[in-house]
Amino acid sequence: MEEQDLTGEIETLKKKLAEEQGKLSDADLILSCQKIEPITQVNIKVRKVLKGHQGKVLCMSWSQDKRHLVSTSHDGKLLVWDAFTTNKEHAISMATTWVMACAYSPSGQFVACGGLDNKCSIYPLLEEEPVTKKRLVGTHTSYLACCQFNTSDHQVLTGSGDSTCVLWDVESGQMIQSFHGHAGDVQALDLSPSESGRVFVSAGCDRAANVWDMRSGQCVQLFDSHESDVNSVRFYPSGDAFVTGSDDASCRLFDLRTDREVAVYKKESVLFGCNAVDFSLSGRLLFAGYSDYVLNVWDVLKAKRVAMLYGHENRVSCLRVVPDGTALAGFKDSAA
Amino acid sequence: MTLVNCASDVSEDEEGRQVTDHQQQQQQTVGCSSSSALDNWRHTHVVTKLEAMVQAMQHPQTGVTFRAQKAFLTSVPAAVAGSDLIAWVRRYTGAEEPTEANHIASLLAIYGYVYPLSDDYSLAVRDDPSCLYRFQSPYYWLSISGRPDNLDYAIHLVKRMIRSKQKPGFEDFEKLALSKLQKLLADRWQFIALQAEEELKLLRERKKNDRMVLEMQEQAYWRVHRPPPGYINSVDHPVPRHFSLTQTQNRLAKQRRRRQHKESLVSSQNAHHKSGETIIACYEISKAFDWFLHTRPAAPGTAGTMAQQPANGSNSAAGTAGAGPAVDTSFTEADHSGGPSSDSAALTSGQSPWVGDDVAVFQNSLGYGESGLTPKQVKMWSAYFDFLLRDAAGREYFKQFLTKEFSSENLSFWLAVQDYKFGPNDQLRSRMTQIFDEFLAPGAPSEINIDSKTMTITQKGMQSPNRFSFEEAQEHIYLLMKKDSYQRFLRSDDYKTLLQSAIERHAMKKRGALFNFGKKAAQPTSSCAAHPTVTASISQRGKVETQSSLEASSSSGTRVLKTRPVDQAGPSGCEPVANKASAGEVAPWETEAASEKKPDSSTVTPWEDG
Repeated sequence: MEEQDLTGEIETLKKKLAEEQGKLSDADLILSCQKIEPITQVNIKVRKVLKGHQGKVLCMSWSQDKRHLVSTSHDGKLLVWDAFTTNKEHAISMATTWVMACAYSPSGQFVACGGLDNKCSIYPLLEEEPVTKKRLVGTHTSYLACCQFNTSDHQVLTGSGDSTCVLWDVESGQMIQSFHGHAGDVQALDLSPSESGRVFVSAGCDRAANVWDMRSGQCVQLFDSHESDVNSVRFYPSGDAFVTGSDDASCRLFDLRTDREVAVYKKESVLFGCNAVDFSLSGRLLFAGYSDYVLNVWDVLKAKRVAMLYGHENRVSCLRVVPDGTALAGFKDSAA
Repeated sequence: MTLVNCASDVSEDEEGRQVTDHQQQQQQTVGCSSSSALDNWRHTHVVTKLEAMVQAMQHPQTGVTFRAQKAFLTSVPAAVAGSDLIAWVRRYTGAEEPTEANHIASLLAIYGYVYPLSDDYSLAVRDDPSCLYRFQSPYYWLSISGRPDNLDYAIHLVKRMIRSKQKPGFEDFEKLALSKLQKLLADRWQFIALQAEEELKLLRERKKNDRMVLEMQEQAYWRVHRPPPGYINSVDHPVPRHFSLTQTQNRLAKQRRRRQHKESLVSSQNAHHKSGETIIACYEISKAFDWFLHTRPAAPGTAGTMAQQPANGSNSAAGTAGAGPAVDTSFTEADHSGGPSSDSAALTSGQSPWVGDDVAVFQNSLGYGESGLTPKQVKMWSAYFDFLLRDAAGREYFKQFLTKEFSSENLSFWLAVQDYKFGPNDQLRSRMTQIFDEFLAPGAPSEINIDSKTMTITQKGMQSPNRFSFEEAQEHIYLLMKKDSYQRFLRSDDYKTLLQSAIERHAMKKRGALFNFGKKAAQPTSSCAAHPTVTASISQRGKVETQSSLEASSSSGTRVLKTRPVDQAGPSGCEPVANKASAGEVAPWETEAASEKKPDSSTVTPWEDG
């Protein structure tokens, strides 16, 4: 009995400490940023609309050439666009209709994708008929939620509904390293921008974001202050921090070095879950797409919202900033 | 208001009975509700908030004001005007902009808590006192009834069909859906027909007013969950999560028991300062690259939309005059406070690349066009070492610089290990021996300089080839390059002339965004001397990129390069730049307004244009 009481007490004390910490953390970033000039206005305009998908757009990815992007939709099609001319350069029909993950390879020669078929496949874009030259990279025991090329065309990192992330070797289709530790479906992952290629973060339905060391395959850090499923995760340009977007209508900034949550981006009037997050080039702005068709633009340092963008007819499901930071594309339901 | 409450209470009772019958039978035959509960898990947060809002709205004192609506012979119970709804939402959520309040109000309709008393199918709440809305009965709320399945819909459609004989209005899409469901649920059709009859009978026993209300509520419910063609079903969430909620919670509990308690909850204060500092530091370094954060020199006519920077005073007069010295100073010290303001003029130089239809201009802005590297690209190399390493062109120039200093084997080693680490698995062994022979073996052709401790670790790592065998050595070399060679590269003439020529080349193309030619004339010696190397390397860049076998990422450059004739880069690169430096004449390739020597201040902000 005593033990139970004591553990109960410990829990309450821990909670109290966490609360106090929480107060400190928000205040601190904002305090240190007081000298930084505020953003008075952000002017973002819709420049291009990429129409062509028949169903909900589930995922997208920019190419490193800052001009092309790939998107997959519920109608079973994978489209490669030239974003500037809005032409579709490739249209690949997939075997499964729910393709929830896609990634452009760094060289621009391949696209990787996968979804409810539990598989991650690669299509070479330079071939005449990419569909025929499809190659299987890896298979999970549940749906594929996200995938990314690991710095080169030869390795793909995938996150799946079976709560694991796996690093695959493309040529052989073998698993190089697997990462176990999530308690629920993995919904999103992001590789650290640092060139050493050893760190990545994944987040999922267990409300947590895990930071992994690729060398050991271990989860080195865990952040679980969200109140609901985490849908999206993106590293801050310096690689020392990352932001997560969740169904609890908040985005949170976590710092790796100090191992804590640094800022929360939420508002009374923002009710809906956040599906996708990305940073501007400098990291000052956080673009977050929500389930209520809105894109909120947050000032990362001051934790204030600076703009709202409506331009969609339905939920924003995925959003990425072009590698050189001049544009961003958000997708859902037939429009970009 | 009281009328409405009564109606909904009564209907709840009646429908409560109906529900239990229906649901019991449902669960016997279909057993569906559990799946909808899981789906709703994704909605839970939203649903709780929305329902809390709706309940607050219906509060007698602080809620929305209701108005009675009279229509023809019947008077329909009280309803809410669109504008009232929006105003109340605005106060409740503290939304600053009216569009936001409107948006939230529309969401209430879209998620089925409010429905319009109008004939069209749109669910947007209009800010109009004459547009009326009514609250949906709690029976139909998402948290209570969940999402319906085909069986429910079939029953509803049958009822509609029967009713349509007296009251027309059975839509085409409903007929279509009904015929589809007849085929799908053929085995249960008898039950469906019976159930529909039952419900209609019960309905007929109600008073006329109540009947109308109930019908409208049901209609509204199905409007949300089975929208007519052309409208999106917003309540649908695509893929259900694989692990159920209970499974996730169990696993989490297990994890927590296993995980050790994290230490140092005490060192919070300092830690916070640190995290804030690193984040801010990163921002300070990269803020020059975000176009929207640039200052505008206080120019007449342009709306001052950007943030003010304190150190901007001296630069405001002539953006051009500021460009010269500011570009130089930013290399020598890591002082970025005054830098970005005028640098940005050099960097953005004009319009957003996404405006307009000219592909050549767009490619130019990315650095693939005729003007070669953009000043932004070159400047970014000075922000982080990683940016330099990531960019193919950056690597090339850095390599040239290192060759002059006889330390290019460091970069080659680093690149080789990158290829090794991220390369195909089957080549691990062969590449490992290659790297060892080339860089690490005593007396190797490009022997790198690492201390003995790292060497022993590396040799041990090499016994079992894995991707991280050379990790320690690579890190060592990386730090060496970063602290030493990289810093010198940034201070070198090579880099400075690179940046200068990038700015020049890109400035030519813009209307009026010119830089100080006087300044350039004053430095003819350094620029001329460096020109041959710079231009030669520019012309070679096309070839270099195609030939470069060191990394996979260059082929994106090759693919794009096909679109422009490679030879153009050669001759045009050499000649005009030399002309510029000496005589300040207009270069042959210059087009329209480039020759005007206007200061930067008069250009329209890129995003306001077009």
